[in-house]
Amino acid sequence: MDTICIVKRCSLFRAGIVALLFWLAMSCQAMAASQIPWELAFTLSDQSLGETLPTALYVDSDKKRYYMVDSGGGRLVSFDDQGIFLKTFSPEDGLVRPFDMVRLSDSVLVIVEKGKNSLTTIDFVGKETKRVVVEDRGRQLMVDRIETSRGKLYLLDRASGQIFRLSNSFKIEQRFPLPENSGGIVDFKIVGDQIWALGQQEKRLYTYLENGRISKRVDVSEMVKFPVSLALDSAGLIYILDRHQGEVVVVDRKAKIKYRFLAKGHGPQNLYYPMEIRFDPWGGLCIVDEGNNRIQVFRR
Amino acid sequence: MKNRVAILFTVGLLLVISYDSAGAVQGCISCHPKQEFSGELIHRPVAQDQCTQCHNPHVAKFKGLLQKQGGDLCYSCHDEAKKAFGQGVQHQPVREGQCLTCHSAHASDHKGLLSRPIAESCFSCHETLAGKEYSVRHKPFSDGNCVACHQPHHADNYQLLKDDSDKLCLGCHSQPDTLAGHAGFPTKAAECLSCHNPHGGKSKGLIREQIHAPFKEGCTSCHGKEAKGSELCLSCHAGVREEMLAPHSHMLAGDRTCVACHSPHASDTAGLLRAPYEQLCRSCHTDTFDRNRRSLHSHPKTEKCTDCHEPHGSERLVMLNGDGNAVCSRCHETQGEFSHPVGSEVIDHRTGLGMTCLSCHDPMGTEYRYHLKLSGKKAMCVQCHRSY
Repeated sequence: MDTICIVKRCSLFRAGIVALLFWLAMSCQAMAASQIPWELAFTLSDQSLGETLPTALYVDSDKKRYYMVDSGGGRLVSFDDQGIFLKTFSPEDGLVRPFDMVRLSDSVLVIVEKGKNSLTTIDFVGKETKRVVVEDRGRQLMVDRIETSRGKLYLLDRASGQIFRLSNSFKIEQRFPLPENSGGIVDFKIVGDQIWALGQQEKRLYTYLENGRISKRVDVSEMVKFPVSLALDSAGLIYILDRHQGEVVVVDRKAKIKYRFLAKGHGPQNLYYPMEIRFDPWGGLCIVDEGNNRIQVFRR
Repeated sequence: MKNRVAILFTVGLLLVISYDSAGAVQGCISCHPKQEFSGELIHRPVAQDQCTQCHNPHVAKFKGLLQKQGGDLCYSCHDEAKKAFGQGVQHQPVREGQCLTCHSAHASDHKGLLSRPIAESCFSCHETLAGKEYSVRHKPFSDGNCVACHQPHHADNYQLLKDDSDKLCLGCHSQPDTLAGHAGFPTKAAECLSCHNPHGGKSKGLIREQIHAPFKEGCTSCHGKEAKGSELCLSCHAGVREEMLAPHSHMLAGDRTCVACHSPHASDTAGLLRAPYEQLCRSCHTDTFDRNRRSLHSHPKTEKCTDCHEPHGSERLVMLNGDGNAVCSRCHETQGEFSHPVGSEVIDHRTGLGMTCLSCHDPMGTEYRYHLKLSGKKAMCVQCHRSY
């Protein structure tokens, strides 16, 4: 009788331990999930658009518009700030492999047209389209990503892997030299007085000062496999988009990992070979997802 | 009193352990005669009759009644090697913990407990190199002395070279002697492997077979020109320039321009590639190759990566050299005719794109049969066919 009691007590004890461990595991999982503050708000896509190749997003805070650069369709696609599709646009003579865009002034858009290796300006007031091939000491730059800050245009040259600041006439005003042992910069964002740049091959982040000097290097090689784009939030966290893993890795400025989210696939919480990440002016995190033919906007 | 009990207990325990160990060894030898483990070199645990250091005499999870599997077992003693091997470029068997690919576990007649002479060991995997019929052979290669230049476990250099390739060459071929053989060479001898094959060749000097046309004309065809890096190459290769102006391109910058993949001087391949495709592509796309290796199911190896991918630039996802159906149906001819409908008319509702083979399959590797992205039993299909 005593033996039976002991056996029963042992079984209860074991069951208790198992339940406790299960509860602990679930709590940890819930804590990890609660660390991720992002929820999908809406998706920028529309059935009428058919097949697209989204390569970049530009957000116009004044006009409250999202602009998707559809490289495959040779056009720009606009959405309102709720993600409702508005219209598609391309100049009369079309766009050949557009890749990125910014608005330089009220009436002037600048588009990277990879197919023509040009910075293409579209002046809506003057109704004029101009194509400029940017040169550096007689060498044609291979235009890639562009950004604006305080009315100035910044350009990434894919061939040299360097960033350049251009004058209003698209002449080189300042160069931001390639760091040593770098395979080239693949993306950059401007935050205040600093340029944050991503070196893909070496999996490193660099910050440049306005005078072209590198002020900081952050190694993220242990955290990402194939970084393709970066964004910074107002709290100073860095969001790195991993194209092969289909995830976003969030680190602080000392490269301490905060959390990861999203995964490779085709579902709503998935990415499939994404191209670009950026914040919109309203705090939304936008991800250009090439393989899923869409741009997703996440909000806290 | 307590001390005496403790001493008696300890002595008793030691006696039991030593009896058990000795008994185990005697037990082993009664069926596995020691002569089977003879050789000029004997692995220390074997020499010391410590069979149980690696084997469990009664029951084990692993074949050969081993206590642990592969490298885990070896590293339980050779822990310093494990630390060292983790750095730099790792030889594939090391990376996979397959020490016995090269080493014998018990005894051997070859240094380092190698299971056979070093060259035999190397060529058992590197079969293509073994089959090369060079008219002239580099002496270390001819002698089967692979380790004269390569590290067998890990190295800080590409292709497991013991040192920077130029330093290695000039370690035997001194700079003055080398310069004498390079009349008109503008600088000190350097980048030796961009012209010479380190294993062998058709002529004295082991010059590689394919020579870049400007190199034939003379060094100044390229050197001393204003254009540098990829700009220099693309000034002649205009077609490649066009390809590079795609949304996805392999345009590299800094030191890793066109010459990251191509030799500007000479090569053994028509595209003047520096190495076979797999080695070249792996040098940057390590994660993809790792995924391919670790996945339970992946596409059988193709001859070269460019069978499916563009090497320079592409408008397509993952730089494919055709759409997701065309690339696959080059080999899988019947697909699209009797399989799941595919094509631009059949829309994948997850993406709004036309269905292709790659809507469901990931040839680089997954955990599911037929390298499906999800289980083919249900999970994959219900992504679209939700009513099933």
